[in-house]
Amino acid sequence: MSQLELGLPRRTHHFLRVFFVGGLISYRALFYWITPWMYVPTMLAAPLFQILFFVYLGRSAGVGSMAFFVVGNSIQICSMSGIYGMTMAIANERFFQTLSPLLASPANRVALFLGRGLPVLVSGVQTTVFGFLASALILGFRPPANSLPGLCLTVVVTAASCTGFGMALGSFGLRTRDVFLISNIAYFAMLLICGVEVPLQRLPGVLQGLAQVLPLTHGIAAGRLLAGGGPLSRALPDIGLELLVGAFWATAAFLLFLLFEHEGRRSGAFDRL
Amino acid sequence: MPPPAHPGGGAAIEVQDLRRTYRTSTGTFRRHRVDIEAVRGLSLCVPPGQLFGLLGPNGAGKTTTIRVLCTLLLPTSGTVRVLGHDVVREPKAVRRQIGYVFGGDRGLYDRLNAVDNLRYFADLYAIEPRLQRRRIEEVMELVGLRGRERERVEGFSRGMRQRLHLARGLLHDPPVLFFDEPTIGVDPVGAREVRQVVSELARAGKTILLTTHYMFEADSICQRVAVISKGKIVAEGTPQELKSAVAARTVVEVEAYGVPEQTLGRIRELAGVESLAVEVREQSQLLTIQAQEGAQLTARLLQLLEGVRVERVANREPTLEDAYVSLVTSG
Ligand SMILES: Nc1ncnc2c1ncn2[C@@H]1O[C@H](COP(=O)(O)OP(=O)(O)OP(=O)(O)O)[C@@H](O)[C@H]1O
Ligand SMILES: [Mg+2]
Repeated sequence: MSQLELGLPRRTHHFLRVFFVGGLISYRALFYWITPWMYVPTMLAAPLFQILFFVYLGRSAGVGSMAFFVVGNSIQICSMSGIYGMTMAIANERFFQTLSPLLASPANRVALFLGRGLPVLVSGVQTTVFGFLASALILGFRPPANSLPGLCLTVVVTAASCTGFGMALGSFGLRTRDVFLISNIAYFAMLLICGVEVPLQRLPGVLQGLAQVLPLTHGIAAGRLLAGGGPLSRALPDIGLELLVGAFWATAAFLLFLLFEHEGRRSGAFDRL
Repeated sequence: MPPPAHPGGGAAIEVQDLRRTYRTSTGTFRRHRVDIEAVRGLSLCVPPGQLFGLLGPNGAGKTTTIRVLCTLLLPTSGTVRVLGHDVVREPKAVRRQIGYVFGGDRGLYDRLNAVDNLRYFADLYAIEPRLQRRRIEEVMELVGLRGRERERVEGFSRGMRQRLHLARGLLHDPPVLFFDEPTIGVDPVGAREVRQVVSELARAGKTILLTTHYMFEADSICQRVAVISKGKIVAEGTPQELKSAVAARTVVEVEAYGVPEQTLGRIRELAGVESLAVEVREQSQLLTIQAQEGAQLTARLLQLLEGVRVERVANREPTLEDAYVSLVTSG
């Protein structure tokens, strides 16, 4: 049964299996918050309170509009899945000490690595959609009906770029056991830097520059434009930029993964807790 | 069983002058670098279809050697080939043809059930989906886990986890298998079953490299054994050959209470004594003295042990364990 070389159709098939089926199995294996009693409070309830918190804070301080905070926070909360989900997807391999059998397998690394992003992306979209729906119900948030397709596109693209960024952070999990520290800092820094609660132009220049290469920034900008009644054509450049940022981080992430895999073989650090 | 053809021919596992150094650092602020030479010039050669045992004390470098062979560690120097493929230059070709089973209870996805653990690896090893179910059933049967397939691994006992490791390593039916202490944590009956599985795999033509601390394990299943100590092979041969190295010896066991260090030193210096191993029991000490045959040791020993409470003195035939002890304690 062991085969030396797989033919091209078998190779493609192997790639797809590892990407889709493998990605899903490893999500179930490694994502801590997957059980309903973890998922609901962490991925739905807490983000909802975050949206409400900032909307009411803005209201009582007399700054920003409801739409500003609803769109900003609803989109931002997808980064929780992207960042923590991807960090877990790699760091928890170390926790279970499964890196050795995993990396001793001949599986295609692109499929192995990127496939882990798909469930994380879907979960991120889910959180954001929930945020918007809850805001519509509780706060009476009503974007124009014709903005909905564009908003959907924006949400998917932003969740994808957050996943790509999360992959890059997660790669460090191959190298250090303390990767969750990095993820925590990144998560809260993005809340400040990416224009979620504070308009970008109010931030120091350095942070504004940094915001351009981080996920969320362009997605949130596009989301606000669309929710404010702007046409999709004007939002497309921002959506494109968000996609580009995501692709950049995903590529960087994969290269880091390969680098740290090699580095780990050199240092012998895999599976040391 | 004809040996499988592969580039390079000959050996299935080939290790030439392998060295592996770990660099670690101690201290939090003032980092102090320490180099640990885990493997220091190790060579071995396992022909196709052989069950080869690597025997050695803790820290001898067994796991390090196996991890180099499994492409998880890069050698510091030396050449290592599996079925003719170099582990550094062609890791992927090596990975396709090997199975890696390591001891201990970690290394599984605790939150998944046994079948899902295997399904994931079936995909990683590109086993065709339509064959996966049957193959998973086969290996679960083989390792004696039938009926527990749908239970989450977090509820598995140590021995069950060990069996699942074994199942995972066999899943893709690789021609070369590496077992790192496969019976660790398995009860005696289970360990015997594991040994049986390993023997059967060898009979089926697999090339197997197995590490163990247990002499009888190596003795009972391995065709060839290498004893490794401090990163080097100190002896190699069939279990019979290793035993014959100590066959011309006699072993005296003395159980006594509170033998002073000085006396131990004197025993070591007695004419004809080859080695002395001291095992501390609850109250007493067990001295195992290997000496040349006909050394007439007992009387002289008792003389040296005057004033010490001696429970028992016995002569016996040397075993593989004695050969091993003498090898890893000398030098
Ligand atoms: N990742 C690592 N980093 C630093 N040192 C290591 C590492 N792995 C092993 N060592 C050291 O290398 C030496 C050999 O270890 P190895 O695990 O190969 O021994 P072993 O023969 O498998 O021992 P055991 O029977 O206890 O499993 C030991 O001194 C150990 O401390
Ligand atoms: Mg070991």
